Amino acid sequence: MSPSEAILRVEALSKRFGRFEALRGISFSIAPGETLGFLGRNGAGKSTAIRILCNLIRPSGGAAWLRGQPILGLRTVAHRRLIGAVVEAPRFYPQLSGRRNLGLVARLLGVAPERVEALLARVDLLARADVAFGQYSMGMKQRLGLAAAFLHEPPLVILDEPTAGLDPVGQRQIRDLIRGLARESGVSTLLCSHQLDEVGELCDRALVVEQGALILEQSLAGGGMSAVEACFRELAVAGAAREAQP
Amino acid sequence: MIRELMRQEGLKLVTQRYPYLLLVALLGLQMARMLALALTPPQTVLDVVSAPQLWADGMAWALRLLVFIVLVQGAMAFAQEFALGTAKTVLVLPVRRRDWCLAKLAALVLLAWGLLAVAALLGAGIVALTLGWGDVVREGLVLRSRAEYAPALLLGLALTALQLLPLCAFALLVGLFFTNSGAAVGVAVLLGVLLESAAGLFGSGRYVFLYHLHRPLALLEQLGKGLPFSWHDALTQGLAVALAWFVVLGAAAWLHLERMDIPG
Repeated sequence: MSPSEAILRVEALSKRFGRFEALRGISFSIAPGETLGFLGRNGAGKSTAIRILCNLIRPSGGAAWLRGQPILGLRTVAHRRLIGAVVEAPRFYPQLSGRRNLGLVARLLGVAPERVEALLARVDLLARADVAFGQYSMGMKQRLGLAAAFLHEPPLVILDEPTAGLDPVGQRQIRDLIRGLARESGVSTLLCSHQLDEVGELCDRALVVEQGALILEQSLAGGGMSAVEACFRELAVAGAAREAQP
Repeated sequence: MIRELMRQEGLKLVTQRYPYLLLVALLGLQMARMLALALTPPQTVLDVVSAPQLWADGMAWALRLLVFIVLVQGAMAFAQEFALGTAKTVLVLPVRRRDWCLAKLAALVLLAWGLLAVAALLGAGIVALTLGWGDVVREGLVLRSRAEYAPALLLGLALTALQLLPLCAFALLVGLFFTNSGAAVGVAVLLGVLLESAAGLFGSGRYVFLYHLHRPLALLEQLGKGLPFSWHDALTQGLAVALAWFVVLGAAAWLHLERMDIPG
């Protein structure tokens, strides 16, 4: 894939929090329609990268382009229409219903109310749409978050641990939804996850981040997932060795 | 976009319970205070005897609570968004941080002015039902006619509304530094009390916006006792201080939000 073909291109992205280097110049790209898995241990830098790409925090260095246009550090916000995101857990106003919360997002995006109803039906929340968000189960919250991310049919969707805290049935529902919604709208997806089987099931390619650096980029076609699993086995061994040191 | 964000602020406010409790507390205490004063026979010449005096006294009482409400609501405006994580939901959308800050500030100012107007109308109603909106008379002598004091009451109310502007910006700015609503409110109230105390301690107090907050209503109380209400340097200075602080604190809130990392 040439840089001009990529829907998202990230170059030498870095972030420091005081003396702590959370990201050390990672670079990657996502092709149109591709689902890219973003893997790593807790604190590896995945969420920091996602928060930078969503303009929630400022990078210390590096750049990113969406459809060839720079997206970091801009005063303009029009490019954010090209991204749908759920950063960490889906967060909405707890006293408002799911329908009302999604309606607020839709109005800020300039999306028609009919699309809200269609998405509520698609994520199977129509029957509970008028219940306060604060009373939703974790699975329902995640489904509403997915509806918000796909609401305006953006070319890129960023999902940060969309199945975290869900039981196996809830995980299965969310995975099916992600796959279905991504296929229906033809979007590219950046999927941040802790679960190897989830990435193996949903993604075309995987990146592994460790201590802020990219340590593996692996296509998951054929037996690619075994290389990712081997990488995590090595990380586990190295981690255990570090903990054993006095 | 700002109008839509303001509409959303309004929707969030009316769908919560605590603003209604604060409103009931504000109006209930103001009503109780005014009724008690109106129905108590005057003991000295300082006691309430006229309509503008009773109205201004009730408004001054309401203003104390109104300041508290503005501090609570303002400090929570951003702190609650950070605590709930909804700041991330809003800011991944095509929403400028500047617009979000302006919308929150405008919504808070409208809330403060709305509550002030409601308190003024309630006070006017209580005065009409008790003392009546007559002339200020002492020992049979008309000191101020209704036509004379009515414009002064409106002017005093407008000046009080303007004095609330820097308080709104101050509360909003404090809330930006917290990811916990309770802590934000506590610190905003504490800083408010410290500022007001410091204003009284040092000669530079007149440059602190809280120093001037109660002056217009205090002048109206004097008017109710028969003294003249005329524009003077202290009112000009109070207005200038309020507007200057409003611009400085509002700009500080906007710039801080613009540059800050949104808490995770």
